[in-house]
Amino acid sequence: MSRMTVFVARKIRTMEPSLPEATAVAVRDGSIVEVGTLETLRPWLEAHPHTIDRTFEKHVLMPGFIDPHLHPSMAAYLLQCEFITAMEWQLPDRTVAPVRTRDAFLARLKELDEQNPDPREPIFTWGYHRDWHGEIWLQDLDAISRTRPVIVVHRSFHETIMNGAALDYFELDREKLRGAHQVDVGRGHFYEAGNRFVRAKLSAYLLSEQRRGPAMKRTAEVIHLGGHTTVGDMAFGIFDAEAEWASSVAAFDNDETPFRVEFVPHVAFAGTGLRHEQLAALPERNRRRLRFGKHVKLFTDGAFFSQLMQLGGPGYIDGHDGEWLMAPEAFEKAARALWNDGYVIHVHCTGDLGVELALDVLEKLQWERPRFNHRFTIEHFGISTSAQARRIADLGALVSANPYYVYELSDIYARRGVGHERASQMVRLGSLSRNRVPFALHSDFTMAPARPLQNAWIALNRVNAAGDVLCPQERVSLDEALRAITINAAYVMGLEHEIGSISSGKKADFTVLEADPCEVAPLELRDIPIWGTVFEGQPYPLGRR
Amino acid sequence: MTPIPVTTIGGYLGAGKTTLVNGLLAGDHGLRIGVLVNDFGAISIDEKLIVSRDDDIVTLANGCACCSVAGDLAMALDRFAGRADRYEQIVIEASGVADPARIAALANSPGLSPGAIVVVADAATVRARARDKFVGSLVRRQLAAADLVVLTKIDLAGPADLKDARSLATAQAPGARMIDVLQGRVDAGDLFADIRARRGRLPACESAGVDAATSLFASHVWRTDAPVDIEALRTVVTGLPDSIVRVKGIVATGAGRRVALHRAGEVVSIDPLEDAPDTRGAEIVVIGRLGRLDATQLDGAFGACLLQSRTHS
Repeated sequence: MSRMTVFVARKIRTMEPSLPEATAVAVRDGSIVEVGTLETLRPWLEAHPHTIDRTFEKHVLMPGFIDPHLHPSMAAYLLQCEFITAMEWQLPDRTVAPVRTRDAFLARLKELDEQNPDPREPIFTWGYHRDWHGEIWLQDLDAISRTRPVIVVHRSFHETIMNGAALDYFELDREKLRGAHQVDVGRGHFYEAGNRFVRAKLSAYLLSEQRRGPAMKRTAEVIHLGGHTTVGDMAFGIFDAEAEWASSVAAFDNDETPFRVEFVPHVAFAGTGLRHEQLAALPERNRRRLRFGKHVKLFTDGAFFSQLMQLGGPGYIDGHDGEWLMAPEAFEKAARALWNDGYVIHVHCTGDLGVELALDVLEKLQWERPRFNHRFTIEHFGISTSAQARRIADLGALVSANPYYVYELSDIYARRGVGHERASQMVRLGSLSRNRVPFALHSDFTMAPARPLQNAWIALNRVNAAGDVLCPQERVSLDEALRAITINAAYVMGLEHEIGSISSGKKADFTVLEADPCEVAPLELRDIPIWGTVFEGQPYPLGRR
Repeated sequence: MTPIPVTTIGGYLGAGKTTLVNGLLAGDHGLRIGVLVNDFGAISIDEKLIVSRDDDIVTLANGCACCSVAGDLAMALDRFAGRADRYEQIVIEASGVADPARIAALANSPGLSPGAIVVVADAATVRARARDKFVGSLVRRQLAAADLVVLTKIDLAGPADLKDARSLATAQAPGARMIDVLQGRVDAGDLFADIRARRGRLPACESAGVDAATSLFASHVWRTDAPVDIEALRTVVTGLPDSIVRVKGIVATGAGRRVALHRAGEVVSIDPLEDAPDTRGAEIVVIGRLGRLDATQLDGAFGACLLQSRTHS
């Protein structure tokens, strides 16, 4: 047995209702021995050799933050791009200031071009959006550089715009592509289905053998930066299970990594994901930081960022339809087999009709074969109805929500999408709270920044990027918002006995804050500086890895 | 580069798309069709007729090929584009939840030309599906995209269902042709002829639709454990009457060599096989028009081609 370390802090917010505040926590072999005060810890301290560590004397400790739903493999791609975004993004090496006009977008591109001494090295940017940055085409990018490939990846990843040098670099034949569906080669524009002509080439470049490793390291830095000590890879196998596993092992399975990854396999449909019979053997791979539990991911409706969620009446303002990612019958069949096999089912649901399908199926499964403590979880929870919030409670289901939708999309979706009533009530956490439904918050990174404090801030304030307050009735309390990034996130992952709060016997995972979330003004919650984390008893300060 | 016409087969889950695709892959149409399928597992390919597997593309002895979309239809489609030397028709089996009009639009691409949209509908259930709270609008949208509606499982549908299904299809896709099929049996040649007629590429068909009865064939299988004289067999197969529309088989020719035997229309081809399953003798399937297939005569003719005179039919 190792020597005990006692961390003394200005305040420890344990997220345990039985002992919500403390000032000292004793840790040994990666686990918490006891939390309390130096006074209450005395029986342990008198009996065992220990070191008092006062590094955090002026800091506030919280349980290590948990994001139960993000995608490290996608992040590796994104993090190689220069961010030019309408929203602020915090990255390990810098904070990206919002860029919200066409001129500013082009000026930033020019700056990137001038800063790079090699006139032929490609520049990839991510974050372009016509609503903010106006129209930008090949000719505009040629004006930046005629020698350097410049590739502008749309915020949604569904579009790419490139200059002439990039068309040449990636050997895109202008003649062949003329007239191709959803391609405007004259303007260097590839979108939706037309994006396929460039996607594989860009992926091959960005995720090449020599680039993938460093990119995954950056992903690890971003996860650390948010203060996480546990994240869920909520669609393991979405591209290629073995490649994802290999790159996760290479990047994360070492003592430099201050977090663990819980993999939730994405069960097969439309040619991707794993088959049910492949799931049982996955936990045999488990290592200290990389683990499979008995959780699976299924899908109902389409992407929220693309307005492809399935809506009940009256649908979208422009009359377009959402889409089903899995046919309802296929979803039901897969869910039934997994339910009967004892899996915890997480379902991607973005629109209210998607939620309705998940709940209809859950109700059938409960009727056929009742399960207690099943933890069926609605993931994302974009548009829903208040009746559904109540039904989620009735069926004993949970929600893992992405509150960032409110921040970035509520304004646009009110005007061009679903109208003000439903847009303002998206991610209705207040309704969940009133119905006593446990909920977690997630980022779905790369869809939103992996910043738990920002997500808690949105849930608490419901302020969007335009500065408007959206439906204050759907706000939640500070305690609920903080539980959603700690103990309730652990609960959604089935790990509340191990992580998510600070109490005897649990993993010694802490997020170290420079201020107390309970003392700052609600609007300042997201700005609390993070010193770093403690993962299984080992401190990992930010910026000194 | 000759663009290859792309036909899209859409329709909701369980409507019978895969049965239709299976029929095309094993069919006697004489067309070299490249088929993009949704789920490889659901496709029933006679293993003995597979001549090669190249990545995800399985090539059959009749010149057809089958490729799984594996999550990205557009990328899979590009693998067939520009291969007019190999494929004269591409068929996409759309996912059951896709809007076939959106899928068909992918054929606006180099080396391809957009063809007709065939929407398969289960006559027994399509009416109820079109009212379903989750998929109603999708099923109606799928029908509305159709150039040709194929009503399946009409033997399982009651008269009222069938009438409802027809009126629904007419209401959703007023300009579309409609054909009925039994147990997925649709003659691919007729199917494409029908599509092309509608698109003005071929003279219009005389019949209002494909009569299910004309699509019914009889088949006969001849098997032996002994090696076969392939040149004698070629003569026999070439001389078969017109009522025999299709011959396919794997034949051991002695000295451990095997060939794929194939006749579609009047063309007989014999191709050496390398990775075929171990067959000591031969297995030949003969498909002919119902009532015009003489099994005894076939057994006699094939039996005379054995290198040794032992027959097991």
